[in-house]
Amino acid sequence: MTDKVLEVKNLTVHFYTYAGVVKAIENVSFDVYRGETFALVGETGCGKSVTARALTQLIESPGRIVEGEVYYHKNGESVDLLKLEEEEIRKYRGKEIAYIFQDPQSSLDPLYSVGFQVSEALYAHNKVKSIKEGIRKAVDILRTVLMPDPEKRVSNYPHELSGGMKQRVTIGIGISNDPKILIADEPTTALDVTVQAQILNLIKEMKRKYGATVLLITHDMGVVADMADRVAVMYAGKIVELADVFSIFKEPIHPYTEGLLKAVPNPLIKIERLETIPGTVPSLINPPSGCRFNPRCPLASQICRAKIPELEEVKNGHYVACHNR
Amino acid sequence: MGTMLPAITGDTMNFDSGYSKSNSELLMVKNLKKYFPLKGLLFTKGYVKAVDNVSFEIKKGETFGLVGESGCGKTTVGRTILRLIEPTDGQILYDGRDITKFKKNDMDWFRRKAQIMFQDPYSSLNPRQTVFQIVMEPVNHHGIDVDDPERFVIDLLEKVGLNEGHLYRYPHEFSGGQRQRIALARILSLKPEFVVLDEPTSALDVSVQANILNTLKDIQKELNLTYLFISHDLAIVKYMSHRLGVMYLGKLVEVGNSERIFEEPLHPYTKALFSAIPIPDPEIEKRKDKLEVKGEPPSPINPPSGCRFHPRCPFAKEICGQKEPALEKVEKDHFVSCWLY
Amino acid sequence: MQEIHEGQEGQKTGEEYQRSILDRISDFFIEVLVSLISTVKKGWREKNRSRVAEWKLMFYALNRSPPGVIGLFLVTIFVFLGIFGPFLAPYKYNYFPIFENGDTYLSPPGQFFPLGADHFGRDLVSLLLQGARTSLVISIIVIILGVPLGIVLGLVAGYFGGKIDELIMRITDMFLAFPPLILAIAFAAVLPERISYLINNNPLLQQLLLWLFALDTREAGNLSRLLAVMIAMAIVWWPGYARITRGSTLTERESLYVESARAIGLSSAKIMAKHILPNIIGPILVYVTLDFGSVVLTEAGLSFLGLGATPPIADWGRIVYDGSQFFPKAWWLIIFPGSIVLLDVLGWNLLGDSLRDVLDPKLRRSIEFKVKRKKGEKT
Repeated sequence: MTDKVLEVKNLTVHFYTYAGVVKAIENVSFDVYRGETFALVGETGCGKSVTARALTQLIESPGRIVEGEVYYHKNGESVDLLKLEEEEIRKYRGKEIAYIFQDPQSSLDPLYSVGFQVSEALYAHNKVKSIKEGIRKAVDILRTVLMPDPEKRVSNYPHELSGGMKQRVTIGIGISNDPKILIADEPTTALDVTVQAQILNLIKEMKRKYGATVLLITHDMGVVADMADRVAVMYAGKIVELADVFSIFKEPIHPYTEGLLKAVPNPLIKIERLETIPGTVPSLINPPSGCRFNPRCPLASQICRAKIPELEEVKNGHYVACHNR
Repeated sequence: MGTMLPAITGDTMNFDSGYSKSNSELLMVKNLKKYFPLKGLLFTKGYVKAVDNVSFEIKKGETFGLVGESGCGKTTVGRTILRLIEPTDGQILYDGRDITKFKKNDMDWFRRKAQIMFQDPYSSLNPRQTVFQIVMEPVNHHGIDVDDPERFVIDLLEKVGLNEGHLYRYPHEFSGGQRQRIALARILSLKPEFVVLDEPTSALDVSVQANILNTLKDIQKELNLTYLFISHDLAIVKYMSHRLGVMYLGKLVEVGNSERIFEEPLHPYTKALFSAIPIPDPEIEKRKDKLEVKGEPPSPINPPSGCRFHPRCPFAKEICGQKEPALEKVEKDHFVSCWLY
Repeated sequence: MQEIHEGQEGQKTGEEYQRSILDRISDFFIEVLVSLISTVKKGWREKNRSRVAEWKLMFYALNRSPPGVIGLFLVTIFVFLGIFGPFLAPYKYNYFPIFENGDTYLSPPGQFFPLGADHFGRDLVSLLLQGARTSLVISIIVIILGVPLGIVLGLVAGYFGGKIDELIMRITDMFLAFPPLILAIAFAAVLPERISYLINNNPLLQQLLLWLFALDTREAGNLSRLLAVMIAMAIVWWPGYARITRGSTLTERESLYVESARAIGLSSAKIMAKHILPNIIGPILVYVTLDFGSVVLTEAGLSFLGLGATPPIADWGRIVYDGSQFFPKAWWLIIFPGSIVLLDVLGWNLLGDSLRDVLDPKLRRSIEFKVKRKKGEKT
């Protein structure tokens, strides 16, 4: 498991709004290994989606990638994705690194048939010679994503499909160019649980079939438990804990991870009372000094307010950013 | 997956919320129907059978959970019970009186007893009213005398975890969780007996959600409230409710004691639903056998014949496509509508 | 349960902002107003802290839009002149110097009077000041007559929907289908006779109108034409308000707070008045402000066509009409009243446009942030 496919170092993204500079993510570093499912977890506004988008420079104004490197390793070579020009990075997007977004409704263009949209993705990376040929191939792709009746569905428009089917199409577009990395940003949040189960299974299936690496962004601890091999927990724009999925759930070290896990009800266990985290997520314009979790942390002491804790390895492969451990 | 559960002692009610003391029904819903007409250019083209022949009862002091996926009609049930939507057919007995036949005066009485908390805290509070006005409005409307309105509102705010300083603020100054607390204070101002909670935490983050759910539980215990808890999230429903109803496409497919249903779901849809929720524990989640159902819920405009779940059901038999199963008792306080039982 | 304090928001007071001189001026006026209200209603200040802070922010936002400041300035001046103009005027509008000195006939600016005189030898400055009153009163009355009617019809149509909506909106469409100016001309031509009967039989109404327009009792006979113009304009003015009110009502009707009001048993009338109206009044206010300009312009247009005010009543449109017979010799009779109308209409439009931004919560936040940034930003 030492084969790194993605190496993220000190990624920092700021949004320049009227209210001030929103420090959406600061000094985020992590590695993603080939073939694994790496999950970024956190609550609304913690910066997990921004991180995912920043990897291929998908940050739009007023946002800006202030600092950081994202090394993409392939066949012994490595490229810093953040140093590439728009023209060059486009060759990576979709082909090497594909995205699946939360809302299939808005990631598909309502004016074109789904077959055309899959075909367009193929054509953009020269996988097919013409759109027409692409539509023939789209049928196969829709079949791989277990779309019922793919021959008929290629000529359907997005509004004629259900939410689950639309998400299957976006996954189809995502895998159409055999990407090495699939970034799934809350892929099932807009879907019902039974459909969510189907889509999660499909992602696992695709991963097995194509050997892709999956970067999963979610707020749902259940989905993490189901899908992930390793997990990074984010809070207020920083990674607070990073470890394999079993350690995170079994022996969380950071007080935030601990609190988050206790706040999620487990349907298998009879819970008398859920534990809560006092306070709310801080503003990212003027985040608390030192550890950003300190105002809500039960263990906070002088040093937590004074010094920013670094992400350090405490056990084998288990990283935590906390002064108390 | 039932093996993971801690043993539960039979079907006796061992809840600590004063719930076992009174077992009389507060609300009985009988054959409730709500069809929404689909308007064509001139004539009605058909009906969306949002709620079709739903019957259940809620006992005093308990929380009845109503679960199902989007479009199953759970929200419509919640609103029809309060007559925010007029039912097409059926009876709704509150304290033994049929509220579907209520005229203005009786409705006023009912509105004081029954309240609703909405899903979206960002649109459920009037942005032009202060917290004080929001909380006092129901009291003023029903002409209830309050000696010291300010004190009255402050007491309510403190009860739901807010404070005096919030009295003359406007909703936009609060976070989502705090807004739900304001909504709760407004509801409590009338001292209701029955509250419909329509996905009260689905717009909130988990840590805030836990806070709100705990508050709701505390208030229920303190004021002996009866809840109808509507949600798509089974884990939350399990945490909140004593009894449970599972809805699919306008029908109630399984009703009963919540612990029992979680221990041993009977209806294939309930099983599928339970197996589909990801358990926040990788040791279990990664190893569990999943019962995956095919496809997605069909449209309630032309629901499938027979059992509405049969096209997706892994156990479907011939009869399932032909005849609709009735909601039958399988054990004490456990009903299921399926030809398998 | 007491440990819960999600969010430290809600501490919004004026203090955290970097205030400019304009902000201080507007703060001062607001404080004066608040003190006045507080002396009448005890404890008002404490209960409305958030509201006052909101008002201040609204002005901060307005102060940051130069067109808005110019608009507000112009509008303030014209409203001031509308109220006090007739008293500030050096000469009465019905004083005719021509009978004493024939040379005053169309005397150019500077000869007898600073802005010249009309064909009765009257001082143009005095006429313009008197005309400000005429214009302001007509605008206010047209708005007062037309807007509430449109709002009520729009609310009812939007809230109930169905057949009621159809009926109201088809009637509205009928009115909208007529060109407003032509409809107003038709009404203004037909109405005066009936109205003169009404006015002559209601001395109280007559006195009120004379007082409003700051006219001499002698002019009582000329009132009916002024009133006719106002009524004619009100009749063509409401459909626009019915439209926009209905549109906003349709969206607000679906909000959960409306459903929440129904859940506590509020009647439809109360829901419309207490919940929907306060939430849609913003866009309506913008529309009213912009419309003030349109009313001024339409009224001047009607007077120019010979409807409405009759001499000796001073009216900007009428002055231009009379002056047009002596153009280009007596250019001042066209240029000065024309410019005044231009400035007045411009003022209302500029103010309306920036009010649109200020009253839109999203746009306003972005303006507010500009204010905050100056202090908060360090990087």
